[in-house]
Amino acid sequence: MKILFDFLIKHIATIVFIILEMVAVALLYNRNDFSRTVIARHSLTVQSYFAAIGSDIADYFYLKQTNRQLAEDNARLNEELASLRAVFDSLQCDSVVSALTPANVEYTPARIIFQSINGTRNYVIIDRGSADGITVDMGVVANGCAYGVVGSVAPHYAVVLPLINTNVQVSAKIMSNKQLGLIAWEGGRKDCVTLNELPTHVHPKPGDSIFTSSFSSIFPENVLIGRVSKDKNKHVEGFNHIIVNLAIDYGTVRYVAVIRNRNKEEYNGLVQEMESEIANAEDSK
Amino acid sequence: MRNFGEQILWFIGLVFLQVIFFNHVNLAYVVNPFIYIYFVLVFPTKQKHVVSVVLAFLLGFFVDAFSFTWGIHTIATTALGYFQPIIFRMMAKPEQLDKPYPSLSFMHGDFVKYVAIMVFFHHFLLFLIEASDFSLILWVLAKTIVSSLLTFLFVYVIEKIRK
Repeated sequence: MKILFDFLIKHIATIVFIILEMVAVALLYNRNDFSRTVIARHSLTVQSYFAAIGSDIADYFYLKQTNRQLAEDNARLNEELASLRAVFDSLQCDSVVSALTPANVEYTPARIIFQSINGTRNYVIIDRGSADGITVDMGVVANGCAYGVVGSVAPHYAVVLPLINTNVQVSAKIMSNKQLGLIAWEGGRKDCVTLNELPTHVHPKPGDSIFTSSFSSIFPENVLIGRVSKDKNKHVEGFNHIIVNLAIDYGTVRYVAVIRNRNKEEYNGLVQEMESEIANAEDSK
Repeated sequence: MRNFGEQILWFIGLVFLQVIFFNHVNLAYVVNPFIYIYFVLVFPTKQKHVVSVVLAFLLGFFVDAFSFTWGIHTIATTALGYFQPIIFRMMAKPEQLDKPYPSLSFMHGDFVKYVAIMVFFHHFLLFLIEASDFSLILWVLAKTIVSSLLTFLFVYVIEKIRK
């Protein structure tokens, strides 16, 4: 007994070291559950408060850039408005006009107050939260291009996972042939992602646009993600993987907009209903 | 860091400096200084080994909590805290072991070597865990080297100011 006791005393530092490292590894592997706990929310609020101060100062240095981005955005919107007006004017029939459904998406503008985009599990904090109607899994756009997905929310802040996060996947389609795929990021370069799960016979030309598909409730259809890169495609297990140059430069974006899909609950309700039906059918077999 | 009170002040100060300022420094997506480990670099020479490990764990835990990077900083910093006395004893000359804490002012070149090894060890471990992928090893190494240089520079500046 005394020998054991002496051993413990002698190696107490090593023993404590091993125990604490085990605790840390547990933290690392349970981070997704953990990030939803009270501690995480609390620190989100505290850090966001300080981050907001830093961001206020930094904003002055980016005024020029932000202005240019807003101007570009404005120009693009004006262009769109003009072309839509032309279409609208040409449509005289009442039945067509009445068939136009009101937009079922709503945009909430937000400011980026903190970003960590150096690693593989990147995230960004914005200054809008559940008090502004933001919930988990909402899509985020910037300058009209897909930016990311809301990961977790606090009352006045939210964490956004950008497309360059290894845990984020977005359903996408190729402009020219409407082929569907899955956008994912594998780490490494911050200006491109890959479009996976394409059949091997699909070879889009470099420069072809990639848009979000209608197959998800996160983004509305036809939000620009990027363009097909000149880099060589990869074949992995019977699928074609295409490298996509992102339309967004994550280093310069300061303002984003969160998309709220008014029909999302309805959509998700249907999906859930269907899934539980399938599960029941399998159980009864 | 002569007494425990001063150590606590450094602890809080470095965590806040890291979270508010240095976390925002990311040049070209590669350079990411982690200045908070200065706290571990200047652990008192007489400090009990187990205390070093626990303090390093707490330091990593708080940085993680405020950076939403659960576990990454904790693993790297706890390891750094455990190996700090060992690396220090390897790098310092016998007469320097009696000093209250490692410092540039009396160790000169030895301190530079000691800090270089410690910073590289911590940053490499941290970026490797963060990437969690051995195929990205060159990317991890590149990040480690450039970020270590910047952290090293800031440690040097703090040492110069304290003197």
